[in-house]
Amino acid sequence: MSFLIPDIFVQMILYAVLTFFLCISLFVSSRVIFHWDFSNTSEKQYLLEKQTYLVSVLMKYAFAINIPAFLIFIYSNDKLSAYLTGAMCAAGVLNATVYGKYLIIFKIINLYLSAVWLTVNHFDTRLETMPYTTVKFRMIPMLFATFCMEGTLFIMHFASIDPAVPVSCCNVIFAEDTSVLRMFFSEHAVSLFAAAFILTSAAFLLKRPVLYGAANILYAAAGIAVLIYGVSPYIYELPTHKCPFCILQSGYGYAGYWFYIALFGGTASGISAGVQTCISGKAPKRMITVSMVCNCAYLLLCAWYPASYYLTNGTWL
Amino acid sequence: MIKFTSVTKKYKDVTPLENFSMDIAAGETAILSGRSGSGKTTILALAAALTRPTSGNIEVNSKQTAKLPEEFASLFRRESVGIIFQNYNLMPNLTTLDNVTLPLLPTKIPFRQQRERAFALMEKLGIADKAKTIAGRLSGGEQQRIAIARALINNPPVVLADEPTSNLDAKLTENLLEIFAGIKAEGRTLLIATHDKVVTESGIADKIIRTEL
Ligand SMILES: Nc1ncnc2c1ncn2[C@@H]1O[C@H](COP(=O)(O)OP(=O)(O)OP(=O)(O)O)[C@@H](O)[C@H]1O
Ligand SMILES: [Mg+2]
Repeated sequence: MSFLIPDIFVQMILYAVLTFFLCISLFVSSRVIFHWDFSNTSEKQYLLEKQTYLVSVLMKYAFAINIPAFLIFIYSNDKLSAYLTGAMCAAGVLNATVYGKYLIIFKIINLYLSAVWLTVNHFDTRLETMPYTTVKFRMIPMLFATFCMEGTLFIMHFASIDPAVPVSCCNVIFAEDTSVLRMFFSEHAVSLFAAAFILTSAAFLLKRPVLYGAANILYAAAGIAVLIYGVSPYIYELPTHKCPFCILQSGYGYAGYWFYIALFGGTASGISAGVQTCISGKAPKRMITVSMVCNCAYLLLCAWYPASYYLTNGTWL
Repeated sequence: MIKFTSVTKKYKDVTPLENFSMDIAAGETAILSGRSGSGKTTILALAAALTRPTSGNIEVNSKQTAKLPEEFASLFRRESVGIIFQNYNLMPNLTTLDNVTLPLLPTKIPFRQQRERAFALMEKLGIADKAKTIAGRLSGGEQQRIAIARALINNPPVVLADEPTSNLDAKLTENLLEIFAGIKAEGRTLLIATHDKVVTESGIADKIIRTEL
């Protein structure tokens, strides 16, 4: 498939910019890791402080752009599904090559890592002693690796899509009997999600920020599972249609975007707050509250579709 | 209160300051004297965190200013230092009152209180009757007193003055020295860069620091 399709081309440019910024920060991060000493007043340290300031600003924008870029990615996959035989939505496009599955996994991982980095950066620049600069720059080599992986997968994926070959549609991909893990998730999605929500709320109410961060990882995973296996059939009003991508289409009022924004907003800020607490020993209270509000919003969104279906039809699917 | 430790400031091809150290205690008045181009203005700019040193440590009002990121530096300037620039740097199209209250613009101090403070200062400096006049139309001496009022409006513990007498005649210089004596009596730390012998020999300084090239 051609890289000149505007949607893919835009993303290639974003990757090029991100890679360029990451190369600069990788270079600076190596110097920070080995030479940073805030109490030093030498010319070298001052120069390094100026460079970290520059790099922080560059990376702040690069990572901040990465978050809406994820929506562009989903949206463009959705659009491309029209060109592939058999694909009904983005799921078919992602499943068209062996790389698609790993691409979306790396995309999600990087999305969360970007959020964590942006949080640490935010708290670092709020204090005049730059206390978390070393931590922030220690994260850069890891981010460099995961973003390179994502970029490579992106290129391999779109290079190896063959529009002539028919692909599976989401009905097949998310069918319940394809693997043990999937069967487990599909059967227990609702109880897993309930457990994750209870754990998250308990950590929130008991003011345990690190536990809260960890619970949010579970909540993110269970949230996706419940959306696919528990909630999406009610959005489609079809018991056999289980797909996390079709809900992003206009036919369903773009409902999926609200789900993903609430889930990502809640869990990313929750996880970032947990990491920030580990680093600084102080919990960012406002961030945790915002996170919990988003998580509750996600729960309500998830409950809304089945509940309204039950109220109008008097039966569950 | 103002402490420089082995401060070096390099520009592209000149190094006006190399390994420069000084220590001015709180409430002290010090004079910076030295030839033109020996780095007096540079020292004041460093003390006000208007620029950063290439190396070395600077402590002003118990704050390490050499490392302050820009957002913190502007906050520091607003709270801790008053600067009287060599050429006053007034807004020529604003009135005297507006010029004087300018540093309070980003603060949350209520407007009425800002005016009260400004009038008290202008009264003290003898420019209260010019409050509504456009600053650009005033005489050099009057403009300078606006600059002084503006430097003092945020009640700074540290006051920096750059060549304050360069545009003044003998009588106005006399006046200015009285104003400085007043600033000193209020317990503020005062650092004056000058090569005017009248100021150096007036006995106002507790300490004279020579900058050599
Ligand atoms: N921003 C700048 N860029 C490059 N060079 C500069 C800059 N600021 C000052 N200099 C140079 O640094 C040297 C010291 O300048 P500075 O203004 O501190 O001297 P000064 O002692 O205040 O002189 P004067 O008594 O004439 O006011 C000069 O050679 C000047 O040209
Ligand atoms: Mg000068």
